[in-house]
Amino acid sequence: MKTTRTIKHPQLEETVHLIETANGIQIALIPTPGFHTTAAHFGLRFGGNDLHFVMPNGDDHQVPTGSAHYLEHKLFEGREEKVFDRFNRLGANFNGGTSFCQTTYYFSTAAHFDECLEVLLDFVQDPLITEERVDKERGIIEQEVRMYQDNPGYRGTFLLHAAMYKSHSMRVGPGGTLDDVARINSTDLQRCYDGFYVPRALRLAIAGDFDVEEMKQKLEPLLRTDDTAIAKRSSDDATSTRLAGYVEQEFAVTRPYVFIGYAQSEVETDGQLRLRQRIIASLLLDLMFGKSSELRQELYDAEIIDDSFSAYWSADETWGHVIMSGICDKPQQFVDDITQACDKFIADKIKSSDFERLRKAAWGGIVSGLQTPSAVASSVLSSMLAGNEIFSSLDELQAISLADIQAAAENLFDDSKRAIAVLTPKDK
Amino acid sequence: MSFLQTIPEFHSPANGVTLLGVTDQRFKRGVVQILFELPLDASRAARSLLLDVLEQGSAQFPDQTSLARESQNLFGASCDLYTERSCESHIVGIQISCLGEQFLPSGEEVLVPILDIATGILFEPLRGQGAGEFFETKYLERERKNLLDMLDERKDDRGEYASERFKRVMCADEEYGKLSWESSEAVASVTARQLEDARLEIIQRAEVTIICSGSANVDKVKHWAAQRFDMQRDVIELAEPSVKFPSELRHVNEHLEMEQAKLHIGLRLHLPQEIADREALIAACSILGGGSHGRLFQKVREEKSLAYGIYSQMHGRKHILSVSAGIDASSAAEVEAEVFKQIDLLAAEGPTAHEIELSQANRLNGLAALADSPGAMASFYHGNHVLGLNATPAIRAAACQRLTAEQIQQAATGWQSDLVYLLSAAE
Repeated sequence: MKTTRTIKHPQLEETVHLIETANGIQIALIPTPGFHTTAAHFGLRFGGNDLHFVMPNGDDHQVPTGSAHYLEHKLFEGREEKVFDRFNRLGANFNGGTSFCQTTYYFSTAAHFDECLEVLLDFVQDPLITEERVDKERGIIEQEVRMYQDNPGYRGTFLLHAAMYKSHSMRVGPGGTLDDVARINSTDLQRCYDGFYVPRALRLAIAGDFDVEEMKQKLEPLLRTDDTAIAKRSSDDATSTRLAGYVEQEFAVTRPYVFIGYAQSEVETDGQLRLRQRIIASLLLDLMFGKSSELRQELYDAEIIDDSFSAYWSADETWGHVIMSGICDKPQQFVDDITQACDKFIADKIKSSDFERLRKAAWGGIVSGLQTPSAVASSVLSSMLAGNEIFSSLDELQAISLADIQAAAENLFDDSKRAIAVLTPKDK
Repeated sequence: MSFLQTIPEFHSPANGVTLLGVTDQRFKRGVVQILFELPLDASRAARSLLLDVLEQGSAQFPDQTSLARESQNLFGASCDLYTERSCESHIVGIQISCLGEQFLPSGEEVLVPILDIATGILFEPLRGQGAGEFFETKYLERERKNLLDMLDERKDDRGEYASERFKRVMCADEEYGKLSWESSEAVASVTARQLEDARLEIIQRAEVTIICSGSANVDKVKHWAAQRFDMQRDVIELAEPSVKFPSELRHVNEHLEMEQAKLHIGLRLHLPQEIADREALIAACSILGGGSHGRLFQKVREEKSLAYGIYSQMHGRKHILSVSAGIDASSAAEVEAEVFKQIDLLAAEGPTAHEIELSQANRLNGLAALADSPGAMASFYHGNHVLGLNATPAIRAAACQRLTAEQIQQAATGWQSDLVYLLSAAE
């Protein structure tokens, strides 16, 4: 285990010590003097999108949707004792999460940190997956998936994804479909584990009031020592596909929910460049539709949008999109008015004063976001998994120019990659 | 494990205004909550609509755009206005959040300016253009429509709607069962005059609590509050929450199109005033269903796979404990039976040593972790203040550590089952 780098960020008043084991586990230690809790976030780049992969020995595997999420649940079963019971005895706050591209496991505690760390590293690195155990979890996961199915935001988003992406795993949420959850078996999960839960894929971030050298000594005996290659993911490139321009589904909602999506054709595969792209896109959408925007005020005054309106950019290596959504009475008029407003905004020049003001606000948001050890550890792990430099958001923000924003505005909204999804009330 | 031993600073910068300071310069963000507390009376529909109208601008910043721009210039400081029912009171809340002074470039000041912007919305509102017009009519009518739409859309969030209906049905003739906005009909008929009366009542007659947390500078807020509330105030006295016990267990099943049914079970109990008894009740609730260590999670989720989550909670000052779960409607009877079985067992046999160990570990870690969470710290000390308890986390932790099985069993005795509420799809 060797320290590879120490990064100090004076504006954030944070320091991170980067460490790497001989077999490739990357660790970030962030001392936060004066805090009572310590948080550890452990994760890897493996998520709901990873449905097709080739093992290092050449075996080609296809697994059902929801496999990464199911595996996360199963790891909490532990080998000999349930992870819930072990953490509960120690009093820690703990959880896990599966997104499109990542799975993370974490805890935060004010006591028994060493024991909690041992639990975390043990259950993620040494699971027992059997058919009986997999079957036992099925009812719980089905209930979780059903819970999301009742949420109009979730339903509309994935209806839109299904229109935007022709053959990509983005069409289904990380929890998978109920049909797939019903057929996932231990072989699927073991393959996922063997292919991706290998030391060189694992990343760990720990933040709290500790001594870095002592922490390294604690970690040494707890980490796996084997070394295997990571499976090669065969995610299809979604950036150039579109299935339908308009889809509609009846759903039990009071008024129509409208989702307008623009798939992105130029998503950066490099993590650092994608961070920059994310900051630019977020600033741009804030300039267009944030509360300080004249465009938003016009749309609000004209009663085209209300407070339900939102707009965001999201992306990873093989996909990216802007989604704008809102609740309205006349979906087609809503779409026409929003898209015309986008065109008008792009045609007009962005004012430098608006850009500088939003940059200042974003600066405050980034600094104040790193408030607790848990927030710091989570942010650092996200950077490690996304492949961008830790604590570099502020530097990227300061390096962005108005011209970058203007250029993004001209590329973000490509009509040929636009899809619209509408949830319509059943009784109307 | 160490626990905060400090009693927070209490100040009274003006008549009817209490300021609570639980700040710490370790934090990068300062938060100030200003809570105006009034009865859940006939003015609450006006107050709910008023906030939406006021947010359109102030005398100084006459539209949302200029308001937002001013906040952004303060390094992204934010202000939120809201109304809610809190136990049996109506709260008009203003929350501001801003970057801590130690992270600002030299000479920059954000705390007092954002407090001025946020409260200027309420104290110096944007008036209508017409002579004597309290508020801009077009804004009032637009916000009325938006609020009415939003009230209609409540059903779209099945979980929230089930929770609202459960309280409405269980406490039908109590303040706790009232909606924060009264009704859509009441919102539809509010006049501009009533809005103005409601605004003045908030300023002049509400009991005001200001809570400073994170890195907010208490002295600056105290000084600011003394000036802002420098007026004659005739504060309305608020009643204690009512206590009611049921004559029999009721079952209510309402229908809405949904994938997953929502089950709520409500029980009535006595809320003890002694800290030891209060901790015993917290432990009993925790052992029943306070998390993944709770009996219900273990039995209903882990053993029977009937729910993704099932939890019990106490309702603040109201003498109610409830259990909630998202389930398949066909298993409602089985889940209900298990909930009552575990409640009966806890009262009859008390908790096991292992359960006490788990609930204590969970509670103690939560109390120790308060020190790292400005929001949790503010909530803890404010809750203590409201309940009239003068206890630090250290005192609560000591009381928790001394608990016996008998005390917890006693705390779980006498809970009276009131309502089993199920929101599910029609068969």
